[in-house]
Parts: sequence; C-alpha cells; structure tokens
Amino acid sequence: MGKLGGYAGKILKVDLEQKKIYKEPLSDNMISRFIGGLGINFKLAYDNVQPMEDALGPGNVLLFGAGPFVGTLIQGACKTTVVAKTPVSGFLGITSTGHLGMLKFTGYDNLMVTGKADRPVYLKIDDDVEICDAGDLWGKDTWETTEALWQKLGKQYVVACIGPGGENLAVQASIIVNKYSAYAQSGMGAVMGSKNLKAIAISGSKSINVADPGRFTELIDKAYQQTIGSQKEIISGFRKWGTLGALGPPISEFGPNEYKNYTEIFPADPPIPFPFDRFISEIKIGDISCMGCSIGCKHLIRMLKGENAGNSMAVSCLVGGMHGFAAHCAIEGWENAIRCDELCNRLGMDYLSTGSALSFAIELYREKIIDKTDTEGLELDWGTAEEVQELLRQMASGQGFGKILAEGLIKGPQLIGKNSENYAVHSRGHAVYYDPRRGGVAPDLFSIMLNAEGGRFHSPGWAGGVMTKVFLERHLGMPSDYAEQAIADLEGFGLGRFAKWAEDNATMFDCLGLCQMPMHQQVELSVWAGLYEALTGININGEMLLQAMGRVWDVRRMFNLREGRTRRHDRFIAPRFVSERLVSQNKDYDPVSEEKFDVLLTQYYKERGWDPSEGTVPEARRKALGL
Amino acid sequence: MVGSPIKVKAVNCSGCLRCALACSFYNTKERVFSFAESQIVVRPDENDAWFNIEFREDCIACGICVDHCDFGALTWE
Repeated sequence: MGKLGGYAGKILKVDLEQKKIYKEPLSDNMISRFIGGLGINFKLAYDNVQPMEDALGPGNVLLFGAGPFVGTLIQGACKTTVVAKTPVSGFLGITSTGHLGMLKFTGYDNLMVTGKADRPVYLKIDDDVEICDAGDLWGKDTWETTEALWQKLGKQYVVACIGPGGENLAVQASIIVNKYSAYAQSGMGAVMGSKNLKAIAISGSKSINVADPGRFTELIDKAYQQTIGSQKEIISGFRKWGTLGALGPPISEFGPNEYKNYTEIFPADPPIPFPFDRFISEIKIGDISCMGCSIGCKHLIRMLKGENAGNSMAVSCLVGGMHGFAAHCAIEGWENAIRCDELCNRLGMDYLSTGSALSFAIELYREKIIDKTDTEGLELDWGTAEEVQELLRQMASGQGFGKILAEGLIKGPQLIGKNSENYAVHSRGHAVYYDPRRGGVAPDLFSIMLNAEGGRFHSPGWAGGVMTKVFLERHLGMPSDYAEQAIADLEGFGLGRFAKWAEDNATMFDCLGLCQMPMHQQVELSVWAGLYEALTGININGEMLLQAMGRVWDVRRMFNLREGRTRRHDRFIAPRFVSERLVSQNKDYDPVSEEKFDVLLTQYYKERGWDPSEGTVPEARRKALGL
Repeated sequence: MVGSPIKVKAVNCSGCLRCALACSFYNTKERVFSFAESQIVVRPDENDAWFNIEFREDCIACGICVDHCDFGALTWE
C-alpha cells in the first residue's frame, strides 16, 4: 500500500469566544477506532461537551464531519454529518447533507466550532481560516445570505448558513447549504444561531490522495455497477420522482404519510390533491444531485405562488415537505405545498419537524385546547394554507404562538398545558417518519422509535425492507448462523437483536460518507471494505468496519447516559401510537404494545453488549475507548 | 480550450461534480481528487440552469468529463 489516502488528515477547531483557530492532526487512533465522519464527530462531542450543558449555550459544540469516501468518485459518497447536543431532546443530535464535501478540499475532515461569538460572525475557510463580521447578514434569510456571500467572495465558495429560524433558536431550525441542501433535523440551525454563527463559506484548493489508484478504479466501477449499472430502471424512476416515490407503495405502507397529525391515512396512494403528471409537466425543471452522485434524486422546480412565482428553486428532500405539510397538515395542491417548502428553505426551517409542530397546533385548535386568543387571531384547521404559512413565519421569527411551537414537541406542550402532550407525535422530541401501528415493529422502525436522534427516516437502522438471510449476510455482514436465528426468531421478536446489525451497517455509511438510499445498500459489504483499503491504504475488512461501528454506538450511548438517558427515555413511544387505533377504509391498525416494545429493548441492549436493564456500557469497553 | 468539441448543455447539469472529480483523478500524475487541478469548473448559476459549466485553458478535451456525465450536460459535438 502507498500513502494515506481518503483522509484530509486534520481537524479544524474554531473557538468563537476566544477568537482562536486550531489545526490539529487527525490521529491514527481516532481513525482506527471510529473510521471518520459521524464516528469522529461523536467522539469529539463526548470529549468537548461537559455533562448537562445547555444545548443552546456556549458550552455546546457544533461539529461537521466528512468521512474518508467524501470528495471521491465513489458513487453516493457525498454525505457529511453535523452533530451537537440537540435542543430537541437534550441528547446527541445528528443530521446530514450531501453538499458540504468541499470541507475535505480545504484540508480538514472535521470542523469543531466551540463557544459563542460576541457578535454575529461567519467563518471563511479556504487556504486560510478567518472569523469575519456578519453584522450585515444577521436578519437575512438563507437565500439573501448566500447571495450576499457569493457576491462578496465568489461562487467557488460553498455556503452553509442559517436563516431567521436559527437566529431565533427555533428547535426546528436547519442549516441550508447553497440555498437548498439542508442539514434538516435536530435543530442544528438553532445551535449554530446560539453561537452567533450566521454562515460558513468554504472553498478548497487541496487534493485528496488515493493509496492504490489501480485497485480503487476497479472497485469504484464495481460499486457503480451494483448501484447504477444493475438498476437502471429503478434509478431512472428515482431520478424522475426523487423521494416523492415514498408517497406511494411500498414505502407509503409503513405510514410515513399519515394524515392530519397521524389521526388518519392519506386518502390515496399517491395522494389525489397532488397530480403527478402536473409535477412533471409544470413544476419539475431539472435534476439536482449531491456531490459525486449519478442518481440525482433532488429536484429543480418552479415556484407557483408568492413573490417568487415563476422562478426556480432547488429542493433537497421534496417528500419531507409533503409529509410535513401535505400529509400532517392536510395542505392541498402543489402551489401551497411548494410555497411551504420555499418558506422553510428561506427561513432555515426543517420541513418535517416544522410540519409536525404545525399539525399538532391545528389539532389542538380543533379540539378547543387552544383558541384565537392563543393564536392571536389565526383560525387553524386542516388544509388552511395561509394560516399555516403565517404560523411557520412566526415559528422562525419567535413571535406569537409560533414562539411556543418553536420550543418543540416536548417543551411546547409543557408551556401549553391542558394535557396537550397527548397530541404531540414525536420520538423524544423528534418528528417521526413511520407510524409503528401501520408499519409494524420491524428492525428499522424499532430503531427509529428508539434511536431517532436526528429523525432521518432511513437512519439509524434502515434495513432496506428486505428481511432475508441473504440480505443479512451480504449487506449487513451478519454471520450465517446468526442470520438463521434472526429470521427464525422474527415473529418471536428477535427484532431487537436484528436492529443492532441494521444500525451498525447504516452508521458505517455515515462514518464513510455514503448516502443511505436503498440502491447504495445493494453494494456488498466487502466492496465497501475493499474501497476503504484501496483509498486509504489501511487494511480492513467488513467485520472490522462493523466492529468499529459498535464502538461508535458505545460513544453515542455514553454521551446520552451522561445526559441522564435511562430505559424510561428509551421506551417512550408517542401517546397516540400506544393508545389510539388507526382506522382506514380498508383496514384498522391496533396501537403498539408497550410490553412487546420493552422485550425488544432488552434484546437490543443485550445484542449491543450493554447492561440488559438500563443499557449501560460495560466498564472495560468504556475504559478501552477512554470514556 | 477554445473551440472545444465538448458540447455543454448547462440546463441538464445536476451539479454532481463527477466531471470535475474524474478530470483531476484521471488526468493528474498523482491520481488525486482536486477541484484546483480539474480543467472543468461547475459553479452555481441562477434560474432554469442551476449550474454554470466552464473549461479551463489547459483542457485537452480528453472526454473523461463526458464519460462521467450521467445527465446529458456534457456530450460530444
């Protein structure tokens, strides 16, 4: 093997309080134990956030991480992660996006921002690192901010910024990259705002090495064939519709589109108020990709309503807006749904968690738990687009009833009182993507209920929906005899055990820098391991990669235990899911059994090697990791 | 490169940057990924072409970028 490849080799640390910049080597120890990206972010969070710090205080850290695959030609190697203690739940928060790979080309794998600036600033990272005044940017939306920085610095800079949502500390606030690509959930926009950090502008002139270019070239072709080449028809559909495909079967059968705050099922698959032929003929202009991806599941679309009607807008996860607004709030028509998406993009607010909070407010209003005196005159009901959009603006600006909703689905109901928490549908504060009443408790869904600390629907335990022995062995790396047991025990709730394997596999994607979309999960584990070896020059195999993910999960667990996480938190399921039947024309669905969930939880703890009663990490493992 | 035989249709560009990544990887002696070394530059644009595509002076029109464009933004004349 030749020189170290893949990694940029340094961590950039910016102390906004002291106005100091540190460039530290990324140690071999860190690489071998946690691989990269998310794993290294977790360890940096554990080491640098004191227990019980305020998530929106200067003691929290904001971490950006790009794994070793990011910035190469490996299909789907685009994902960078952001990690901090999240204001949503008070535990470790995670989010990712596909357009900040430029960080690697500035010579850094991870960026850690600490402290709070004494005035609004932005970070300029290129051949140098500079903390710059952002007084003239504060108050601007994300599009205005990005345009202003492009005008000042040039369009070679990738701009990640917050809008009013982040400035006003809404827990639904996102970080928006180049006007559209979102670090959506976990309230990372609010963490950034709490540091008076308006934007990060990045332009890199450095190179990423490849240890063994010959073998690497062979393997990137193989990975490309297993994702793009062998699934041309699927890819073509995916590119045409993007994530909108989740509005129809089979994904819709898991319950992501639950209507009216999870009280009903969306009237049709796909939903009638959104004619798909019109989407193609009038709305979609082109395809948008993340860095290094040939699929292009994002869209360039035409705005149809508001002051920007007729202009184009890029959107990242369009179905997130459909879930948040069309399904949960029952907003009808492309014009209104896209207008909500536009407002979210500009204000720096996440589609799904914002829509969840708004649908919660609508139901409270309908149930007469709140009224016009609470909403300052806004009359809320399902499908009231103008009112929803006004409340969305209030959430981002910290005004009116929106200020309460911007506290999230844990603190918001506490402020409202009147048992309103019974109407809040969430997983420890995070908006949920699946309805466990409809989707059942499969490994991925169980994992989402348990560990959705970023709410990303296909993380941390997306199993691809194909629970077969081949899948377990080939793609999750589960030993053959183990896979047989897992399948045999499915009905007997062996799923807690299975979930651990699905999580480790998905987390490997986050550490390497890969997109978790299903087509990438068709690639064999041995190919990913081979690519890692050829790129970095570090010997590894699939089993070793998964072992590292066990360590990553230990660190994550230790962070959360230190913040007071207990079994009680782990077994929380939204009241609606455990107390109400879901009724539809064709079929009724029973509530989730808390007792069965508890059985899975014990299995899960055991499979992780944690204490089966409270999920604590054994002392020997803590010591080995320096925790 | 003046008079390049590579035809650019920016409205088809998805911004994946595979053209630029491939250009540097296959054309540098060190086999590195580098936007600074790449002879094709993709930057944000506005309106119905969301990206702008330009070639640097040292482009030799080898076609690696065309091979790696899956969106029809780069084709041979």
